[in-house]
Amino acid sequence: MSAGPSTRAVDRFFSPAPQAAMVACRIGFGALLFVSYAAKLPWVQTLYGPRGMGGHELASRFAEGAFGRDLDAPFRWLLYNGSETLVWVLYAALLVAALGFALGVRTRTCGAVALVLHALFLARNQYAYYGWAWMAKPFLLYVILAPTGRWVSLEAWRRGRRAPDWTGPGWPLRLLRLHVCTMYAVAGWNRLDDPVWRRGEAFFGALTDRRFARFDLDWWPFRAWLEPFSHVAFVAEPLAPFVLWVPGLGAAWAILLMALHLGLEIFANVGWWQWLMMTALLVFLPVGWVERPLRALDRRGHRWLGPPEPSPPDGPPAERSSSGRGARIRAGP
Amino acid sequence: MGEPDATGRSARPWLRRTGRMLVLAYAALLVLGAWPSERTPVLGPLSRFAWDTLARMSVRPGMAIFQHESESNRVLVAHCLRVVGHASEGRETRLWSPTCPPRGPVFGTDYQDVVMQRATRAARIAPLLPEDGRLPRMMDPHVQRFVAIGDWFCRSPEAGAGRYDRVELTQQQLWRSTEDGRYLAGPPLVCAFDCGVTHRAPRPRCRLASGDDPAHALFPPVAP
Repeated sequence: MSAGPSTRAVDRFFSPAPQAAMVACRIGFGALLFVSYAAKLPWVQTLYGPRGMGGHELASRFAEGAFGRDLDAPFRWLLYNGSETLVWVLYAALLVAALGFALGVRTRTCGAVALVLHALFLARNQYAYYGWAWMAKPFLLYVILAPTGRWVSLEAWRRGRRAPDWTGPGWPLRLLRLHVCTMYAVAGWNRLDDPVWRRGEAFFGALTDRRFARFDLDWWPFRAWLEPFSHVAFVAEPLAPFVLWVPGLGAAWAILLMALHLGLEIFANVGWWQWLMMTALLVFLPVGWVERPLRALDRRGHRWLGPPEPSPPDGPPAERSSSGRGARIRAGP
Repeated sequence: MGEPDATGRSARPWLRRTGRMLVLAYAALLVLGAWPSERTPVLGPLSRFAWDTLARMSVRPGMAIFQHESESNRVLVAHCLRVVGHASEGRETRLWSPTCPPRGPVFGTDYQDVVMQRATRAARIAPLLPEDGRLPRMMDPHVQRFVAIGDWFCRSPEAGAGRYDRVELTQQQLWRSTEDGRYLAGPPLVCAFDCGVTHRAPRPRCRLASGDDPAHALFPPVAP
């Protein structure tokens, strides 16, 4: 008896899928987390310390449990931490874990540690972040659940572990795709009644708002030129949850969205939003576009950092290629 | 998950089925949570249930970003802050007074400025002003984070560190009309924190000052 359509759909959801985009996301999200926290170094105790803004010193003067009740409950315990040293230790651990995740060292462990610590710091002082930090949590989780440590990873290179077949469980990838779409759904559909967006003034507003705008320019004379960009975004984002799944057109839509994000990053600073979304959109590009450069990088990594190949059982060691560590082994006289 | 059989699949299919059901349920919550609940009366309660369930797991289907006020014909240009410490002998010191709106290109991020701006958005605080000026609803998380800023300037070694009896935080917003490009200044919101309060949560006194008051206006009525 053949499976029904719903069973086939479920099987398809869990079927293996190419993992190149998830590997790229591992590198991108890990690097993003590392750089975003490294940039906070001068303000670590002000933002997260017990005597920092909204820290334990203030919370203890409220009635028990009265301060920060809206914070994510499992992760708010830094609010009750009275040790500055612990904050430094956790901060350093997060940096190390994020870097390890990006580079592919103890990938799942580093990813999990980075995710948990990020959630802790985010709950401690959510005003130190823009919205990207909330979306980064599930995005990171999906990438951690995928076997991304098998490719383009320091650990795989050092141990000489090659996995020529770049496929793995498909459901983390599909969850990430789904979540990217729901992100655009919420952002895009909530704007449909927004008067500023409907009048095409959103980009003018974004570039005028000096809380985010990078450049001190008077955009008023150019507001008509900015309207098309507003209209494109007004249409592209609400339609993204549907169009991204259409073969061929979806890739083009992903590139359009990436271009919008890049343009916004050039002119405005909203934390790491644009980098997060540009990285996540890689899951909608054709597999080859992402896999080819990563395969090339993976080959180089194995060649340069991999263990030397064992000598043949008889005769002198074979002449090695002129590149990489093997060049030190030369044929005998 | 049990020893795999010849096909490589787990010998405990119930675990595999349970895992699949949980993943599919999560995916369904994402899709439902993203649905605009106010536009669809039928799916609305389901959508809100999905959103709340995911929120308890610290997950959001998405975020409504770059939103604006309803019926808005203006855009925000700047949210300006100034913090002044007042000592008992009458000495006043500006503890925080960045150029606002900022001049020149800005490529880095001052995270203290980000936190202060977001925690002190007058739009969230001004509606909470009671008649006597004392902030009510100290359980409100926005009020608590606003209070945290003033208290930090009273107590932090990097700022006031007990040198002042009172810290005054002034915030004012600058807008630009999208109809004619005019700059519009909102009224300054002035909140005074008593730095002598050390045994309980601080409750500042706040008031809306006149935009013409030179002592509190952070930029002239007709802006840059």
